[in-house]
Amino acid sequence: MKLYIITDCDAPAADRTGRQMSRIKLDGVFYSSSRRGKATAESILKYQNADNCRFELLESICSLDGEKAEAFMGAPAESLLSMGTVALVVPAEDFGQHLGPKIMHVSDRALSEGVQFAAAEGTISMFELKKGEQVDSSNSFVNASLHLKVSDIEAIKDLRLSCE
Amino acid sequence: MYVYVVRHGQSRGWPSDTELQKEPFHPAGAKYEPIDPSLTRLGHRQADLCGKFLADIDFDAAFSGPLHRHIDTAKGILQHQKTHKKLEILSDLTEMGLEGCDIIPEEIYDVLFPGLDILPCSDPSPTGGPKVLPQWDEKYSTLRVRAKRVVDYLRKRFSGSDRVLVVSSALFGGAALIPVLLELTEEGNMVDFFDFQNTGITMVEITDDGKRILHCANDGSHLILGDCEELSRITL
Repeated sequence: MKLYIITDCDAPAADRTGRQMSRIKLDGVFYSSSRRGKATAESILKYQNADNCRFELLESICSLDGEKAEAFMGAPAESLLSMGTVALVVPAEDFGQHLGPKIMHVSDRALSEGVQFAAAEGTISMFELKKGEQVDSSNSFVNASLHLKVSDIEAIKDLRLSCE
Repeated sequence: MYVYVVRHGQSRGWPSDTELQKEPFHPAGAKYEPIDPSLTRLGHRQADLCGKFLADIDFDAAFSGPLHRHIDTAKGILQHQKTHKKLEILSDLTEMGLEGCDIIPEEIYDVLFPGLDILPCSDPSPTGGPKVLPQWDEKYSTLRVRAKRVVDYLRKRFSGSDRVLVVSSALFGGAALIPVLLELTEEGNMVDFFDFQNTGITMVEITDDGKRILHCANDGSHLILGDCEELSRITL
């Protein structure tokens, strides 16, 4: 299963994030009850085939703390595993302080000694998860953000040209 | 200090024979290609896109390993900097398994990397290690000895809001340099191997009081934004 984690953000950035995610066929978009959670998730869904993509509030990622993030990695994550490729939309602080470190198995000791994931808004992270196994860090990225730094469509065109 | 660790672009060590046959070796470096391959055309494009992504970061210093693919990639990135930048070579940034190898001599840097201002590695290296790494059977633990030398050196030279570019390789970067930068190397910790795709960017902030913040890891979004299928296949 590929688990994408999108950090929630304001509308213009959310639209860019949705467009960036349009390359990925998602089987589900789940959001937390944060102020901007649902709106950001809707921006992701807008670029998906809504008929084949579940869209729900996911209680197990609401108001995350260390304990709840740990709990999420149990049954809730396993139930998502069967769905295929899904995206979770959570506040940047929740990802940076709780969910990201738990997924990547950063030890409590390292966290207490000052290791953090940055809490950046509108970023995309991806982790490969397999049932009963630890995260496969050989196929992951954290806080991808180029789409946020592209100021307008012209800049996107410029980058596309440079690929040719 | 903010450390931007970038893996080199695609090198001739990886593409299929068919792809490789399309690209002639550079005559001056051909002798070294079998153990120290240069970048493919695609690798150069990846480095160029990475440089555009990082163009607004005004690096205070730029370092790379001594391998052809490291220096090629650093050149692709630095060409987009708004002010002139010198590239400093650190032997400790080389890839696992290449210790003691006969890599490109600095005498032909000007031929292979025209226009790039390179400060060759001294002997001993500025990090305190040897210029030519001894032939030893490197393990992850010994990789981390090298990585620690690099991090200690960077921390002595840079602080505050200084921004440093480091170009290296997948195994050394993912299994040693990034875990050491984050101090995630204790036994039993599962985050001991970060993925590192071609020109993936990992940025770690080390505050002056020692806090470590992972800003991004293996960010390759500069490769998937456009609609170039070749690039998107490789990155995701």
